[in-house]
Amino acid sequence: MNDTNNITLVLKNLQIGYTAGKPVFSEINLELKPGSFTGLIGNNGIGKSTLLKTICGLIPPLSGEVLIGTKKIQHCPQQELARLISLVLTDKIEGFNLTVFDVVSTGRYPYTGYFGELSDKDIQLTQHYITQCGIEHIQHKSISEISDGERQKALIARALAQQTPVMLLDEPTAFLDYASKKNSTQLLKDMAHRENKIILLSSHDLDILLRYADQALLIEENNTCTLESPENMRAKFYL
Amino acid sequence: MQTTAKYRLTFLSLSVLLVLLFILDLFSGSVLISPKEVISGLFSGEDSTYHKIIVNFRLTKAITAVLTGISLSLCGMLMQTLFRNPLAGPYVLGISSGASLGVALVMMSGTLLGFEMNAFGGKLSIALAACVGGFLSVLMVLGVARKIKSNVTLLLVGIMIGHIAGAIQSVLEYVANAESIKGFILWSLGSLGNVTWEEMLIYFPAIVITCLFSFTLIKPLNALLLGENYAHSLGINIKKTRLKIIIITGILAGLTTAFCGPIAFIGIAIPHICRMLFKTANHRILILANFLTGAIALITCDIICQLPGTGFVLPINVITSLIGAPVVIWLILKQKQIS
Repeated sequence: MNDTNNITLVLKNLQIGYTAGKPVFSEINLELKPGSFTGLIGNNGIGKSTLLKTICGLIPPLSGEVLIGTKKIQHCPQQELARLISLVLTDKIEGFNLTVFDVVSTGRYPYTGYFGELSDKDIQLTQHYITQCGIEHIQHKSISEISDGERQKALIARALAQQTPVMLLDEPTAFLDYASKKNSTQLLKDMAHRENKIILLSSHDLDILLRYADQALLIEENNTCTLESPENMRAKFYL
Repeated sequence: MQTTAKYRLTFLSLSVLLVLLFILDLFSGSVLISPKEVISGLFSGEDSTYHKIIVNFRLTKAITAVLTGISLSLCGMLMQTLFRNPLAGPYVLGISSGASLGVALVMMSGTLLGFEMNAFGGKLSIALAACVGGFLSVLMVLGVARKIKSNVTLLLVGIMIGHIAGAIQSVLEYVANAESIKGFILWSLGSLGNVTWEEMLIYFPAIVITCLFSFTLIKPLNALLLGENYAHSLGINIKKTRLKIIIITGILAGLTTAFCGPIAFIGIAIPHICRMLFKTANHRILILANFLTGAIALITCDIICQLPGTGFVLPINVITSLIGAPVVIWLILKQKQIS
């Protein structure tokens, strides 16, 4: 991780959306520094998920660019990208005998060989992040048998095991109870600082998010996009 | 997804079971032949009757059962992982029907268009047509699967594809001559006993090579269990993986259908039995498990349908359906947990 210490995430004149000519959001300019935990907030349908999916390369930007360090993600080979950005999505994960350990260990896939065999180091790291996320007691349970909060932690552990300088999370605290929301958010903040990561998380839980985040990115109608301290943001929402 | 050591015992017992069943399959059949005569038949001269029955019929049939069982189970497993749907399988999703339609086109339009094929060339073109039919059906189901989320709905779509293929076959039967219709109907009942040694020269290597090719999919398949988005973010090339799976399932479902007729329910049931037996999500284990369990299942079905000693033989599909269909019902009842 040391070589990634000074990698920043830069969005330059980014225009996002699914069809050319009909951008969901335009003119996003942003720079996120390592060791920062940023909350992404905005109304439903404003384009938070689209923004996250564009940054990680799941959908191409309509124009502009996303830079991780000096690398443009549009031109980055998929294999390399897998070592730069990790994700926690809202996609459902279920069934077929998958245990928590299995799920977390897939985070090591970008580092494994052709057949995806885990090395001793991969197993150790998987174990390490399982412990860090406090789910070691359920690691051999099936992913479909555990609670939503535990599953979210497993997915966070999986993304951490991927050991990428950038980590994106799409509403990871939705459907969680209050304690789990607080818990997961605190965990992410700690990880951002301890591992010098750029963590960007979208959420509607303003109260919790603004308590833990280092900064908040607000996207609004009229293509306004503001990066503020939690204090200013709280004042803005009268919290 | 840890070491294979703990699975070694299960693999070993299954292998022993497979060898025993293979031998038992040689000894059992509608014609009662004593074990001593079976052994002497295996090694005796070309012209003895027992030699003909044992070597040219029972041995090829047993080998065909193994190859077909392996292929259909692998197909089912690949489709279940790709579609993330426990109800996927070559028969229930209409892949076998698509392959059948290809076979019907070749078998019945030959006489219709006024050309006659020799048996071997005919079998080759039938195999090719079945593979093409298989490919097209996988593509079609995949197209639909990307639009709908519900597992059971996809099953319905597969059944509809089966009906469409069936309807076109009926039209063909209407215009084809009696001889080719008879051939087609006999084929469509499904039989493991129709592969000659000459045909085995194509069937055996084609199946083995295609099955071995599936080992290149271990890592992508494991990643796909998390869904396409996560797999993509882990550096897996989704398009390439999808294409490989379509090619493998098309070839396997096509070849088995061409040589043995549509065999029901093995493809959907065996992968689940493997997951229960091995309790793992790792495809490195599951591929091997499906090979062994699929072969064991179909050879067992073959032994049962000989109704040893009675002089009667049941169509193989009777047995596979009796065993496989309840598995599908059980899966649908269990859906609450899966979807």
